[in-house]
Amino acid sequence: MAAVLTRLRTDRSLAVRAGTLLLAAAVAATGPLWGDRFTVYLLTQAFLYAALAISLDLVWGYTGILDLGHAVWFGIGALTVGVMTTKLDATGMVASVHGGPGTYLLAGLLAVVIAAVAAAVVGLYCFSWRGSTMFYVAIVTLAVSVVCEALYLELRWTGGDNGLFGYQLRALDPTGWFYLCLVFFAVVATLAYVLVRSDFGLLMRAIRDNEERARFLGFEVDLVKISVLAGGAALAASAGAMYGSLLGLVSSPLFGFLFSTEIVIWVAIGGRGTLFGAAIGAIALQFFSSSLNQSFPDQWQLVVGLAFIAVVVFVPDGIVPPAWRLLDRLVGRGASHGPTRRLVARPAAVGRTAAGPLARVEELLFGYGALQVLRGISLEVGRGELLCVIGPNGAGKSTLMAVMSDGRMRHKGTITYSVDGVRDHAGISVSALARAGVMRKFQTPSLFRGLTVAETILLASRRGGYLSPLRRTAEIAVPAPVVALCEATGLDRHLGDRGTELSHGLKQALELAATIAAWPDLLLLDEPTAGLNSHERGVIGDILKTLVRDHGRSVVLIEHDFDFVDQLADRIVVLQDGRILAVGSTSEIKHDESVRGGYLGITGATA
Amino acid sequence: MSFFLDLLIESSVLLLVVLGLGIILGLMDVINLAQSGFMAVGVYAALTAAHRGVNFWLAVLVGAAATGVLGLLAEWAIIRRLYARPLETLLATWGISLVLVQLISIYFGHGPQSFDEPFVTAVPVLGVQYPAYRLVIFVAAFAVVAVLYLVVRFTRWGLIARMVMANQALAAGLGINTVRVRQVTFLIGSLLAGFAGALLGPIQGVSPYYATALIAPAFLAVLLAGRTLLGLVLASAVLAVTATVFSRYFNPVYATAVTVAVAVVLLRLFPEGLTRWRRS
Repeated sequence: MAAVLTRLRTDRSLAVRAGTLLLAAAVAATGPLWGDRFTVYLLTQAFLYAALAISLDLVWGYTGILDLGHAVWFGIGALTVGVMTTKLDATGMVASVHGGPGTYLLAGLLAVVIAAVAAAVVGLYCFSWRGSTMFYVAIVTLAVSVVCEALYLELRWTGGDNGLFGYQLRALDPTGWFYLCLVFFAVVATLAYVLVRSDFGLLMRAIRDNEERARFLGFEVDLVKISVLAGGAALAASAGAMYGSLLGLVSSPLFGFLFSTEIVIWVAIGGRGTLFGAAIGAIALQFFSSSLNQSFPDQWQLVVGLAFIAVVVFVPDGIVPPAWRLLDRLVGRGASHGPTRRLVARPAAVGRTAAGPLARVEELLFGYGALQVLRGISLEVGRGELLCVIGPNGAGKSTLMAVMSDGRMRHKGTITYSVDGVRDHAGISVSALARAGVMRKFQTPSLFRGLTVAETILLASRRGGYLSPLRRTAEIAVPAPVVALCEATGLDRHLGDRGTELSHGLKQALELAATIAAWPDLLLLDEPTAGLNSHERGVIGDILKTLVRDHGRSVVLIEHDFDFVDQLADRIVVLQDGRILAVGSTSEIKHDESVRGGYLGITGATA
Repeated sequence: MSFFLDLLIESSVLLLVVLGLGIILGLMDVINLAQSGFMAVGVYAALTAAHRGVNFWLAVLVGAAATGVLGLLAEWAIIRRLYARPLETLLATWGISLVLVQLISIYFGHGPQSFDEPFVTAVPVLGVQYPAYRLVIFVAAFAVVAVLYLVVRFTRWGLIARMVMANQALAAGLGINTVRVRQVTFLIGSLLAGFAGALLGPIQGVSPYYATALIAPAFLAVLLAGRTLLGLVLASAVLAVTATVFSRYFNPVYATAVTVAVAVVLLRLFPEGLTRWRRS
């Protein structure tokens, strides 16, 4: 408590936001005191819509899955309650309503399960195959929504055209409902807030920003996306069940595409990826539209449509983030950033001393279509060895790394590793290989737009392992070389900055720090020093030496600078036209005639 | 025989809707959710012209032209600013559709409008009497496909279009004005949407929410088509035939659901589009 107060005193930006939230909460909680019956009724509904908007914000705003059929999950909630509490007569109209609060609760739980399973099936279809683009899930969920709305009208047990009605739970009076919905909303919002601040929340944002990179860090991206979609659907269904019990009404539009897009509009205008924005967007738009819809329905919808376009084009973050910034400028001078995460060195596991090479590549052939890139490559990487791969552009160096780090690229020949859990790499996904200890760093930095340096390193250090959906790790335990790298490059002064806003040198350092933080047995480093000055190169060279000599890691390094290679390499492989031109120690390579002529461009006497 | 003609016509209807979408997706990577709004604009513009005494066919062209102008405006004011954020164009175009539908509701009311066919005669085709106007839909759809094919295959514009589709950055590097290409693409897509909207008016029942029923199958068809003209034709035919056959011989209630299910399964089998077998 005291710590919280201290933070509020020192961080005015935080204090302003907390104050605003408290004020909003106070205004909302006292609704029955200042509002008339109609206002209270509107607010009660708006809380449920706000919970629904938050569930979409988790799926879309935080994880980047554009669910254009989110209404379906909400509808499932309302429909399940309706079906379980009503009886239809022969004409398909509601004849009687039965069931006590227990039935409603059971129906709500059942709805949550149904929606989660249905969403998981949709997610499984959309995410679990390669080549599915981001448009896919949008169009498929859109289609699901359209089909559900059409089916609803045709089916008998849903009440068809009339829907189901009159099944509101009468155990509560309007004020009781108001507070129940307020509490429900508060619980949903709190859960969502804890989730997005947690370590798992980092992974959600990472997937939104750069799905491919998250895979290369070892995370099962598809599984995470399916779980988030299912979780969002479950939350939406619980809100739908509340809605059904409150209004006692369900009909086809509740499943429809129009309602789905309305939820998207609330979240977009309020501010996606902020939770607060989604909630405010839902409450405000719902509140105004109910008041204005009676007098100017078309005009109001027109204004909403125009506002939506304007927000998408000009303020993609929505209204709330700029509003916060404005508030900060007005009252929050001297605002500090929240507490950033720190790095602490942990004792790093030393490499095992088992005999035999760590990786063995035999007769590897690979091509893109008609273009044959690798034409029969065989090489070994020993434990605790630093193997440099050199060769002209187009020799196949990066392709070799790509194939080594991804068992699903179709190739001929074999690659075997002796790391935990993986031997033959054929058919093994990028993320599974990363978890087993084979990790690749790309040639050009590929970072997460919304993640800070510390957050990126934290994610990487888990190497695809468990991330708590509740806990927020403040002290990131990383192997000592990561700390050394951060200190030597100055990255430690930028832990709270976004990775994509760093200078090029620091971006490269961060990429490397993240790869090392994962502590893989085999590091596949594609030009980690590209674009760096000689001092920075020296720092990185030293770190790599430590990794290999003191910690028993194995490194395969693609490099163009032969002097750099000369200082570091245990062995050198020279690639040309997809074949190995020469293998050997630095001095052997320097004296190899074919290399000297073909690649190094040296003729005459040796140095 | 008349059922066979029905299948042809239903395929043509879907094809007309899909053509504009397919061109915009293929060349711009934009899924144009404004399509239904554009079709509504096309039909209301044609309707207004026809009610003022303009000849039906001329009115259809008026509808197409009005939508084309609107498309140019939308591209200039909105779409152009979102090229770097393709998923956002989905949202923005949906916003455009909302605004158009509301504007139409304000000026014309929510109620259905009647748009008379230019002729109600039936003509003998392949031994049966068939409504002549429905045949016009078929002829129009395939005329558009033929023109597009010829343009893409044999003109300089077609060559540029294929270049941009294959590699946009490279095309820009070779001095192709890709901004202009996108502008013209969106114009053509909008013209086609307006044309389809106006032409389908007499057989679809005109209201501000015009063509929304066609939108889900249309988007699935576009994804299924895989960016070739032949793909668009095939995908429209497969989905339209599925829907028509199923509702005639099995159960009309589940026709939409079955069509979507078929599309969803086919998408899995042909991730690169119907004209290309899955890469093994």
